[in-house]
Amino acid sequence: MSPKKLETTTLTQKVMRDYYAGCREAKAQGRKVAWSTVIMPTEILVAADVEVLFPENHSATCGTKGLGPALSELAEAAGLSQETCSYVRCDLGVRMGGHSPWGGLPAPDIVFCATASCSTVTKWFEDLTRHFGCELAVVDMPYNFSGSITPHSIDYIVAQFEESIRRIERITGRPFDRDRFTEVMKLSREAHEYWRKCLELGATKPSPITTTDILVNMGPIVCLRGTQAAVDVYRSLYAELSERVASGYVAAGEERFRLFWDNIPFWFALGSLSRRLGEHGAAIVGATYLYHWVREVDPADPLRSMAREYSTAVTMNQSVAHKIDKLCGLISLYQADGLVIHSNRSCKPDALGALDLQRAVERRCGVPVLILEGDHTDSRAVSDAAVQTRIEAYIEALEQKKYGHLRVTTHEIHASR
Amino acid sequence: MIATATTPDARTALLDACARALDHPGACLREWKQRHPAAHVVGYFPTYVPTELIYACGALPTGLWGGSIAVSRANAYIQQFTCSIVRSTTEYALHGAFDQLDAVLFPPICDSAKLVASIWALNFSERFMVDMVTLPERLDSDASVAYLAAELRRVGATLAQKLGVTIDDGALACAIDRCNRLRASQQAFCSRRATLEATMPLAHAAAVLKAGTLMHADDYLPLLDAFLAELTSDARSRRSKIPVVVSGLACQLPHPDFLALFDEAGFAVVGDDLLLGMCGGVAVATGGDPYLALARAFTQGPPLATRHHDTIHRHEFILDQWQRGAARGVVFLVPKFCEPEWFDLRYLKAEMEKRGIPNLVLDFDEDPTGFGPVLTRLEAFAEILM
Ligand code: SF4
Ligand code: SF4
Repeated sequence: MSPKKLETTTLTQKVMRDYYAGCREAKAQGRKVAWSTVIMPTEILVAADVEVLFPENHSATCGTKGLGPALSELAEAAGLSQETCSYVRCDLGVRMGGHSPWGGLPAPDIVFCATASCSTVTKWFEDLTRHFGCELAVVDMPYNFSGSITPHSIDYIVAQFEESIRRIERITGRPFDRDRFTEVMKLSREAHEYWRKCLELGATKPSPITTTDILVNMGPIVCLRGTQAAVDVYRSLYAELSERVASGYVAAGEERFRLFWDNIPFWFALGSLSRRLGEHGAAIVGATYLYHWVREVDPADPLRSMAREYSTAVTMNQSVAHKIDKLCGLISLYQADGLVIHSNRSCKPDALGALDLQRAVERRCGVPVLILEGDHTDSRAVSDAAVQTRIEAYIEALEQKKYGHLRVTTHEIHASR
Repeated sequence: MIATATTPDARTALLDACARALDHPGACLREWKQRHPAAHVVGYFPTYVPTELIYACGALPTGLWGGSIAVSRANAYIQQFTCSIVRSTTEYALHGAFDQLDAVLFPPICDSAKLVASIWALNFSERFMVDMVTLPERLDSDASVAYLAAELRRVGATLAQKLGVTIDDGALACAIDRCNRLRASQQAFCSRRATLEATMPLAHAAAVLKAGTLMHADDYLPLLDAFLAELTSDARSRRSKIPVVVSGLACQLPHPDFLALFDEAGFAVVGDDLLLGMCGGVAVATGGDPYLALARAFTQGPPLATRHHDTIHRHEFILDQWQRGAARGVVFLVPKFCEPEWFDLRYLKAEMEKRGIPNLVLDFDEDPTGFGPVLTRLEAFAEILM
């Protein structure tokens, strides 16, 4: 069966096009534009009618177009070490005049940075304020070392939300509209709920959607929480996936091996990696990355619920023990035969702990784990040959584990002739 | 000819004690435990962990500095794209070097440190308690002070429970006083660097400050104070040397032989923000709520690569040191794979260049060999500045 196009993708693409056009228009009309980290509760900004853009999202898009190395080189020539996160290097590369698929982002009037994803973003956003001469609002979300958030951490984050609101009032010259905020929070909750339900359906065996298709439809949950457009996209996706599950639709073809992915994807090799795995009947059916956006926000208690959820939902702000528990739960939910961990040198907060994760998952879930060295956007740091060799060895381990023997693929028969 | 600015006795006593603390930390710890059989030892990852909490528990705080160990077993826990101190300390831990400790406290200074703390908690909790003093990343908000005071209470209570003691306000006040005196003496030591250069090059000054994180303040302070009391001003000392400011990050120091190259290349280090983490910071106020006072003092400390402040910037601090010391250049010492410092470097360099201040960037790890090219670069820099 040839794969069916996901109809929601057309809607998502339109919504995202409109969103970027809207941001440009706002800038042209002199309305305020903010840049933000993706783990910031931008519901606050949406309620204040400030357009928000996300440099991480922009860098990932540059990555999907294979621009990582060229942009990184520009950033390195401008003095930023290759030892820093390649998202930052992509962004700086574009600011230094490099090519961007979107022609860059409209300059910000203010930048917002929440530290739940990492401390790297603070350094990145400090650089943005120096570059654009704009204000920086840092929302510090302390690391949840014990696996759960402390009450004083919640108080601290809430106090900073309140500070941010006062800053926004000053910048926009308008009082913050709490009623509008409640409406935005309701929309945010709805979008989040649909997103979670879509992922639950996505975990069905066999998979009704490829991970690449989910990634393609992630834009609104990352960039447009708190808007009707995001709710529309995920309501549509949920309906489409429900139909697919009901009709027994299989998205990834043969699923001899269902694999779960940890850490940010190789953005520059999304298609080639799934083709490579597909040759062996292996499919990536889910990823930790998607779950960073699974949160339960509460419009009746917006600031406290966002403090808790934004701080704890991402694995980067959590203990390794917590991440292990989360991954073991997901591997069982997806009935995965294996875990592939991207040991991403550009994202230390998500990559460190990989070796403990590997040991724990092999022991607790009894599935083989592959660690691939890599980088999410700078493909210079990824050896294609090494990836190929490791995948082949891994597939053998999966074969032995699941079927108790080695399978000779048609691909190998042709190759040996 | 460089004049001697103190009697050899005070200087030798200080340097010998420091060298012993640094070269034989395990043996020193054992001796200390023999002298204080009922007391505990609490390790902390450099830096910014408020040792006042540890002293208030009647325990000895000891810095975990890593070192020049060949990393092999730690490769099964931590990837190679991380800085050397997180890898070497883990290697030492795997060899049992910290098994004498009752607890280890980590600060969340950077992404690597946060995760390494978590990896230690997962793997070493049966050997010693592992906890984090989750310091705020922002130093510019009142909310940070309230948050940190609550976090210090939490850590203090957890630690005390683990050690089977209680922290009362009296014990904490006493610990605050002790650490205030320690900080004041170390800062006096730093601020007299120009004089010190006559007798004590950067490598030795770093050793003195570093030993202050390993020895009990009651053993260390008398030696340091005796040295300072006898230190006399000697204006001749610096004349033949080239004054520079050294900038870096206190949680990882280059090997002593690396630091010694500054002297060899003819530099006098007249200012730095390298050793700040070991002795920077303001005195903690006494009298009120001790946890609030500790928290407030932390947020009023000097600018750091790993903390954010909206209006106080690190380049201003370096420029101030440069001006005060009439320095001719700045040397940046950047640990390999240290993201916060590589980020700051780009901006700090630009600020120096904007003002025409010559600067040199040297990266390093804890490898004790291969310093030849470093000396060549320092000598070439010295020639430019002469
Ligand atoms: S270090 Fe990781 S979490 Fe932080 S900005 Fe880079 S990719 Fe994102
Ligand atoms: S040297 Fe840098 S990367 Fe290493 S622990 Fe210190 S701040 Fe973190």
